[in-house]
Parts: sequence; C-alpha cells; structure tokens
Amino acid sequence: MKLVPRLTLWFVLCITVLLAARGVLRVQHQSAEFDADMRRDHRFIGRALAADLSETWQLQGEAAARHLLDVAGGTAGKSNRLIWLSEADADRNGIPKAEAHRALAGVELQAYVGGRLLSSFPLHGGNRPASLLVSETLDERQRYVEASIVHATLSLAFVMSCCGILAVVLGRWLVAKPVRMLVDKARRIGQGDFSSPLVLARKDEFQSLAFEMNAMCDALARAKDELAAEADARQSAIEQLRHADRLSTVGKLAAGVAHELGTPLSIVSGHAEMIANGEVQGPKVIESAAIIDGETKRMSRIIRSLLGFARRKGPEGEASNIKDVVTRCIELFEPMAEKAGVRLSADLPSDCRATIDQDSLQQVMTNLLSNAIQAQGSGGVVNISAAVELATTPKGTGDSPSEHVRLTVADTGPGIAAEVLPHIFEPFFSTKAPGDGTGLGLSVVYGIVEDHGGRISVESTTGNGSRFSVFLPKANPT
Amino acid sequence: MQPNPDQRAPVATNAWTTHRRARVLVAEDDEQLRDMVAAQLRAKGHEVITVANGTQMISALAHASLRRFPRDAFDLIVTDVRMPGITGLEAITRLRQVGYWTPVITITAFPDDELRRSAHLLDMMVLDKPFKLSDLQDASQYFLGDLAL
Repeated sequence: MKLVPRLTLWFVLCITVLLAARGVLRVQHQSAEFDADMRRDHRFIGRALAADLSETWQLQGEAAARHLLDVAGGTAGKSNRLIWLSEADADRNGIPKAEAHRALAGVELQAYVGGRLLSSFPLHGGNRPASLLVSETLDERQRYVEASIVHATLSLAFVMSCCGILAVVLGRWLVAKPVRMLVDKARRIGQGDFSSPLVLARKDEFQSLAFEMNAMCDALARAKDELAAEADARQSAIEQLRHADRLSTVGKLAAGVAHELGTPLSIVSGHAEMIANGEVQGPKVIESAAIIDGETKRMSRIIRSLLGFARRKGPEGEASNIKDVVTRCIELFEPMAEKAGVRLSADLPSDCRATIDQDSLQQVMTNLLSNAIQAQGSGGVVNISAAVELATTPKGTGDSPSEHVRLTVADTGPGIAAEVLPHIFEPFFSTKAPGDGTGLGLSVVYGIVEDHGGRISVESTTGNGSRFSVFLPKANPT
Repeated sequence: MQPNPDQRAPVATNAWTTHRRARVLVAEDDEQLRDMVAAQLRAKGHEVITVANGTQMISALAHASLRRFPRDAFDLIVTDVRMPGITGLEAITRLRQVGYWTPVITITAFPDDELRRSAHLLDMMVLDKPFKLSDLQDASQYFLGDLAL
C-alpha cells in the first residue's frame, strides 16, 4: 500500500474513533440532562398544581378541584397527562399497584413506567387520600436522542471526508511529490545520469535528502570523470608501451637486417671495386663475379626469410594429413640425418588432420627437423610424434580447451640454456655459427603456427635435449 | 671495468723499430668477407693473420703477447663486432684491460650510440658495414703509414 493512502487511512481512522467516542458521550450526557430537566418540570408543575388543587378541594369540594384539573390537563399538551388518583380508580390508570399504593400513602415519587415518567404529588383536601399524577411519554426524549445520534453521525462523516481529502491532498503535496522526485533522481543516478541537480523549494527533511543526493551525485560524477581520465591515461600508457615495444621490435629487426645484409653487401661492393680498379684480372675476375653472385643469392635468401616472417596471411582453411606431410619431410631430411649420424624415428597416427596448408606445415617441419638434427649430434635419435590433445588457443587464455593436433619434435642434444630460451622465437636470434643459420627459422615457424591459430611451445633443459611442441587446430577427418 | 688510459703500457713492439712488415690480425666470422679483407691488406704488403671468432682472436692475441718478441706483436687489429661466442668488443675490452693499446679498426653493421661510446672508450676506429674497400685502405694507411714496404 502506498504511503499517502496508508497515512490518510490511519489519520481518518483515528479521527473517527475520537469523534465517535465524543459523539457517544455527548448523546449520553444530553439524554441525562433531558431526564433531569423533565423531572424538574414535573416537580415544578406538580407541586404548584397540587397545592392549588388541595386548596380548591378544601374550599369548594372535590368536583371543583377535578374540574380545575381537567382545565389544567387540557392545556398540558398531548404527551402529558394529569390524572386524579384516588383509591377508587387506582387500577384504571394502568399504574402498578405498588406505585399507586405508595402514591396514595402520601409519598412524593417519580418513576419510569411503561415508557412514561410518572410523578405523584399527594393532595390534602378531603378525608380520602388522593394524589395528583403527572404522566409524560418518553417519545420526545427518544426523538431527541435519535436526532442527536443522526447529527453526530453526519458531522462525523463530514469531518471524516474533509480530513480524508485534506490528508490526500496534503500527503500528495508534502510527501508523494518530493518522494517521486527523489525516486526519479535516484533512478537517473542509477542509469548514470548525474546532470540536473534536484531542486525542492521547501525547507524540510526532503530538501536535506535532495541536497545530500545532489552532493552524492556530484561526487559520483567527479569519481566517474576521474575514472574515465584514469582509464584514458592507462589506455594511452598501454598504447605507448605497445608502440615502444613495436619500435624495439623494429629496432631489433633493423639491427638483424643490417647485420645480415651488411656483410654480403661489403663483399659485393669490395669485389666490384676490385674489378673496377683492375686489381683482379683474368680468371680472378670470374672468381670475384661468382662470389658476388653467391652473396647476392645469400641476400635474396635473407630477404625471402624476412618476408616469410613478416607474412601475416590468415589460415586458408585447408586441412593437411599430418602423416603424409611429415613423412615427406622426414624423407627429405634422411640424407642429412644420415650424414650427421642421426636416426629419425616417427610415430604418427594414420588419419590425423590439422587445419594448415601443406606448404606451411612443410616449412614448420623443415625448420624444426633441421634444428633437431643439428642439435642432436652423432649417434642420437630424433623423435617425431603426433597426437590429438585438448589445448587452449594462444590468444584467448580464457577459452575452454579445444581439440588440437600436437606435433612433437624431440632431440636428446645439449638442450637450450635457460637464458637463451625466451629469445629463441625472436627474429635474427641464433646460437649457430654464422652461415649455418640466419636466426629467422624459428621466428618463421612461430609466425606460421600463430597464423594458423596454433601455438608453439618448447621444453628444454641443458643436457637433456629439447622438445618442440606445435599445437594446431584439429580438422575433421573427411 | 673500463680501462684507464693513464695506465697504458707501452706498445709492446713497434714495427718501425724492427724493420719488418706490419702484422695485422683480421677477425671476421664471414669467410668471404674475411678473405676479401685479408687479400686487400696482403695486397698492400702487410702480414695478415685471420681468425673466425672472438675465442680464436683472444688466443691469437695471447699467443702474440706471450712470445714477448717484438716481431710477433700485432700492429693493427681489424675485427667484426658481432661474432659467435666471444664478440669482437669483448675481446678488445679484455686486451685493453691488460694494457695493450694496439690500434683497432672495428667493423659493424649496426653502429648505435652504445657501440660508439664503447669505441671511444676502447680507442677504436669504427667502420660501418657495408664499407668500401677504399675506406678500409684509408683506415689501415692511417694506422700503419709506410710500414707496408
């Protein structure tokens, strides 16, 4: 139930109870007063008339007295009767015997009998006992009480409706309106609108509440602004960090490119200079030209690898049979492995497909296998295996694991030192002797695997060999 | 620890006093470049010893200084900065730390500020890759003068 109707109801109820109690008391009081008034009137009239009648009876006889009573009775009105009570007609007037007896005994009495007020006054005129009876109906008193009740009820109803209307109007104005405004304001705050402070043109608790609410609103708006500014600052800091990181990557790349290309360029320029100066002649010129050619090829190779690293093409959605591709790579590497005294051991499930195109997979395997063979040293075994596993994707760490093909190349060579391990996927990072590697192989592998929505990881401890694991999204067998 | 130039030991030997050809140590990991530099310096009439990395370089330097004979000392060192194992910069730092201030030409593909600072402290001449043969000749001429023959 809403506040204003409830308030009104209680208010009206209280007033009703009070007024009703007051009305009841008032009616009782009035009726008692009416009674007293009636008795007083009876006594007053009765005594005066009784004295008069007694005298007339004494001087002029009973008939004259009775006549006088009739005359007086004619003026008494409808509701009043004046009765000459004697022993002879005591039973006729419907008066109880006990009262009649007491009245004739000379006692002045008043009693309510059969809806009437009876008052008796002794008469002394003759030798027979007689009494004057004043009898009045109580109808008038009843009417008076009823009228009082009706009046009280009507005035109660009037006051109640006035109070109800007043309570509703005042409740709306004093309570419901500010409460509604406050509720609206609170709702706006809840929706994040801190504008337009609430103004209540009054001086009460609602105004203080509105004032406090506005203050809270201001504080919230300030906090929100600060938060936004902070978020902006953090965002820009992150952007700057990313930029710095990109710059450092670019710097590393530039250093790598400069180093890789600087040497062959120096050689090319040197030999060209020698030929131009005529420092080399005859067959030496051909030799120099061959060297220039070789160095040019070397530079092209470096640039191709670099492009391979920079390549960011999305996965083509092509699925490759792992066993076919890996077996072909192993066959390619058999001669090299034989020369190095390394045995290649493969454990591949026959029907296992990953979403990667064959060329990319071949490139990944080529790099991993040549690294493994070089690291293995004579007499060891390089293990190649594939299995389906649940793994998480590289980017969404919150993702639930999905089915991946895990391709593992493990050697038992010297392993990778812990300080080197974090850098092995960086471009131009190499521990091999110059000429053996460009430092791009693993970074290219990393790029390819990431491109295909996969992940590459390495476990290695010095002296225990290395295990490269490539996780690629599993393709459904066709 | 940086070498203190005031503690400079006298250059162990000087080709001028021994009336011989200048001895040059060439340290470069790339075979082609090494051969080319060596050939160029030999063509100028110098005696050239080549090494392929920092470790070999240090052993060659140690060997030369141990012998204590003026004729075995190097008159010039030409070295690459980035080499597998011990880098050229590290090898030169060690040489300077034991007090040898043999002239050094260092070849680098990526001459950043840090390298320039090190080169200044270690008293090295920096030659940027790719370099022209004439630059190398000028540099060696600067250090070796008429020692060629």
